Parts: sequence; C-alpha cells; structure tokens
Amino acid sequence: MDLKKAITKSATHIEIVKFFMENPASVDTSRGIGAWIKKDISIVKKALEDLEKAGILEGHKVSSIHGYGLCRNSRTIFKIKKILKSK
Amino acid sequence: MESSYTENLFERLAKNLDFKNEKKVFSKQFGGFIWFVTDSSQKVPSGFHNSKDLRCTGCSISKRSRSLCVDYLKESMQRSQVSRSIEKFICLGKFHGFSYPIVQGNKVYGFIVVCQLKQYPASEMIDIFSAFTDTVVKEVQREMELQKLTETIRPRAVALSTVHTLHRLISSTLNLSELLPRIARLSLQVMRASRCSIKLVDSKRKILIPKTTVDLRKTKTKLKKVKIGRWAPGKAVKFARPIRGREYLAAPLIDEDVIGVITIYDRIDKKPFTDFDEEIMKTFCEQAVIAIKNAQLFKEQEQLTLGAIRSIASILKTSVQGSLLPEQSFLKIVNMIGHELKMSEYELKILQYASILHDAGQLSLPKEILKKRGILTGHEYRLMKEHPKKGASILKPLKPLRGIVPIILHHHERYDGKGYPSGLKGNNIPLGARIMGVVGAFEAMISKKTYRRRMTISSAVKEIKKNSGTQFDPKVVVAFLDAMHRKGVIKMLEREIHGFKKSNN
Repeated sequence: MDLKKAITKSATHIEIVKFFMENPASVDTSRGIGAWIKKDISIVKKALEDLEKAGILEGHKVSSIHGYGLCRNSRTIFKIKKILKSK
Repeated sequence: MESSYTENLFERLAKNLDFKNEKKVFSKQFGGFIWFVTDSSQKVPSGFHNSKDLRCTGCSISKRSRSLCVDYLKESMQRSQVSRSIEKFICLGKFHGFSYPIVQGNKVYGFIVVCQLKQYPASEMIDIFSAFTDTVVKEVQREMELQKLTETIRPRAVALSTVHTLHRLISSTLNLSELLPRIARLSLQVMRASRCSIKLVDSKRKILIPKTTVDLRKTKTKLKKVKIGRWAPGKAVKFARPIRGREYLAAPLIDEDVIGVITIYDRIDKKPFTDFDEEIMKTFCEQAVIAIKNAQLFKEQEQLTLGAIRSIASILKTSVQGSLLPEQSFLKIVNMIGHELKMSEYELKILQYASILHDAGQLSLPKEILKKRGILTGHEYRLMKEHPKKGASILKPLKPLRGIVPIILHHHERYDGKGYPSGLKGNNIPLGARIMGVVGAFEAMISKKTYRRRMTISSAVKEIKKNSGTQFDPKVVVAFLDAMHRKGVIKMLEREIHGFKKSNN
C-alpha cells in the first residue's frame, strides 16, 4: 500500500500519523494512542496495524504488549510530512 | 512573549461568536455605534478589519476633525489605562463614547472603544455591557490559559506514557540475550538515532564488553571492547554520568555501581543531542538497569537450579545402573520432539530438566533391586513402580523445579491407561510425561541392563512404532520418528553409545 493511501485511509489513520509526527519520540500502545487522539481502541488498533504494515510506524512487540513508534527512515518521514501538509 | 499573547488574545476575541453577538445586541440598545478594538499600543489588531485605524466615520469630514477625534479617543484610553474601568468622552462636542479596558491581573492588554453614540447610555446599560464584555474576555483568557497548560503538560504526559510503555516492553523478558537488543532498538526509537551499542562492564579486566549493537546505517561498525575511561562510553562509565557530543550520547547504566553503558549515535534528523535527550536517556537507563539486573539475577538463579539438577543427576548415575544413554543426545531428542509439538520456551526448559531427573525416584529404591541381575520379583516390581511417586516427592520441595513434578510423576503412564502410578489415559497424561514416556522407553531399550542385553537403535525405534497408540501417544511417536530421521541423530547416538560402551568396559 502506498504511503498516501495508508495515511488517508480514515480520519483515525490521519490523526495517529499526526500524533506521531508531533511526538516522534513517543512509543505507545493502542490504548495509549486511543487516549491521546480520543478514539475507540478497536478502531485505533486496526489503524495502527495498517500503518505498521505500510512502514509508517514501527512495532515493538513482546508477548504481553505491542508498542508503536514512528518509523526512523528520514525519506519516509519527509514523505509523510508532505502528505500531511497537502491534507 | 507578551506581544504574542496579546496577538493571540485579540485573534481569539475577533473569532469569538459571543463577542460578535454582543456588538449586535448592544447596537440595538445604544443606537447605531461604532466600536474599535485596539491593543494597548493603540494599533487595531488583525481580525478587526472594519477598524483600520483609530478614527470613526463620523470624524472623517476634515483632517482637523479626524485628528481631534483621535485625540479624544487616546485621552479616554489613557484614563482607562490608569483607572482600569470604563471612561466616558464626548467627541467634537456632539458624539458620546467610552473606552473599556481589557485587563488581566495588573496588565491592560487593550481597549474596546465605543463612540458616535447620540447620547451617553444609562449607567445600568453600561454595567450590563461591562459585565457581558468582562465575561467574554475572561472566557477567552481562560481558554488561552487552558491551551497553554495543555501545551505544557501534554508533551510531558506523552513522554510519561512512553516511559511507562518502555518499562513494560523491557521488563517483559528475563532473557538477557533478548533483553539487550530490545533495549538498543527502543533507545534508537526514542532518541531518533541511527546506531546504538550496549556495553557491559567487566570489572576484573576494567574494560567494557560490547553485548549488542543495532545499526541502521549501510556501513556497519564493528563491535569493539573499550577500556574504562576511554572514548565516550568509557568516560561515561568512569565518571558515572552521561557524556554527550554533537553526534553521540553515552549514558551509564547505574545500579549500586556502574554496570554498563548505552551509547547512541547520529540522530536521523542530523541535529545534535540536547539536554532534553540526555534527561530522557537517563530515565530510560534507570528503567533498563532494573531490567538488566533482573535478567542477570534470573540467569544466576537458573544456573543455580541447573547446578542442583546436575548434582542430583550425577548421584543418580552412580547409584542407578543402566541409564547409559548419553545425556546430551537424550536432551537433543527431547528438545526436537518438544519443538515439533510446538512447546513454549518455558515448557521446553522444564522438559529438559525433567529429562535429566525423570528417574530421580530410583534413588529411594533399595540398592539390591537396582543392581539385581535377572527379573524382578512381584514385590520388587511393585517397589520399582513406586519410583515416579518417590521422584515427584523428592523434587516437590524445590520451588524452581515444581514444573517438572507432573512430568516425573506420570512418565510411566500409558496412552491406553494401563500405566502407573495413576492409570491416566490419552491426553489426560501431561504432554511432557507422554514425551518422556517415549524417550524414556527408547533410552531403556538401547541401554545395557543387568537383566538383558542392549537393543539396537533400529530395533528400539521399531518397538516404539509398534506400541504407538497403545503404550505411546501416536502424535509424540510421529515427532520422535521425525527427530530420529533428522540428519546426524542416529550417528550421534551410535557414536556416544559406543563411547560409553568402551568406558563401561
């Protein structure tokens, strides 16, 4: 899936990406991110999985917890910035 | 700072719906009027585009009257500035007006100037205007304070949440070889850097041993040992404080003493590391050191357990004749079966321990029975059948070995329910015990016993196959056969049995 499609898939997707662009050092769970963007955890969980698949987020998974952080590829981050700006 | 606050305040006032409605309502009450909103420097702020400067249309007749009007307004505003309340004025001898100061604390941020009224409004109306305006301004100011508070608190709350998530991520494992790379990856994630290395202190040799490195760059750096006191990691350990350069940040892992150092290099945005980064890294290191210490303690405890198991096993070997299958081969086969049956890491470990100690109960049997040549009598056989129970009771008090007790207790059960001690059937027998049943029987068959000759490996495998579904779980037998067909397994067994045969002879 290309970056633009992945980011603009839904309002939740956009808000999650915006959250991580504003807090690039953040690593949080779906519950935490749901609280920050005030969205239902199940919707957030699905969106996070999509964004991880698209390479926008990086997952840190252990048996009991799945944390997400912004990807560290500077080219991808530049593209994300551009997409968000055009929105 | 203050001018941006004033700008922000007026921008919000210009957008405020209540403020717009106020003008509509009071226009009806006061009769048509013009109002200006100015900041304290008497400039019309952006957002109030209908008031380009300090003059009203009623005064635009001549340059002279315009200038006089501006003087009246300014003078009224000056009085408001001092009194911090509404000040009236009469413009050009015919128009009435007043200026209302926008105040917060001791500061006047600007004025709302109302002019071109045909007569001065009743004091009750002025009070209502004043109260209404005051409410709107205060509401806007509160909104701004709330926003400022959110802007200050939110990043800290996000950071706190991150620290909490990191803590959960790194404390979910006690395996040091899994933990250190995880800490390195998370350091990179949080610090937005390209490279991270974790080195632990070897206090005897006064050097730092590289334990893990995560490098996102194309050209990777080789892991190097570093002397304490040299380079950034060595200095961070020596001085027990973070050492920071433009492109690196080394933070010590401090428990009671410094146990290691996490060094991160090259931020992905190419910016230098900051004080804030240093603070975050210090907090992260505090979390990491607890997790590392826990993992090290766990490893020590595991080694202690393993030591106890090996001690019992060596006593077992000297006391019980016939357990001749080399331990390593036995453990490998058990491990392969466990993997094949998708057992977890913990279950595999327990299975390994149980493999070493499965006949521990034989220690409680009279030596005459264990050393007896020939077939056991009924009474002796009954005693022999007690060994799983005895083994379980010997090992039960050892807390770290509790997991192996059910395996040892039931490793002589049969899949068809005709085994001992409980006569359990099918899947009621714990999986570990079913595996142990197969491998234990195989071990007994290929071992030399005092009462019979050793079977060949192929005959023993055939025997296991023959008893699949009756004595043994068919699933376990399939996994066992699969393990036996793996490259090198038979050779390994033959080589090791041959070695044992020689040593026995």
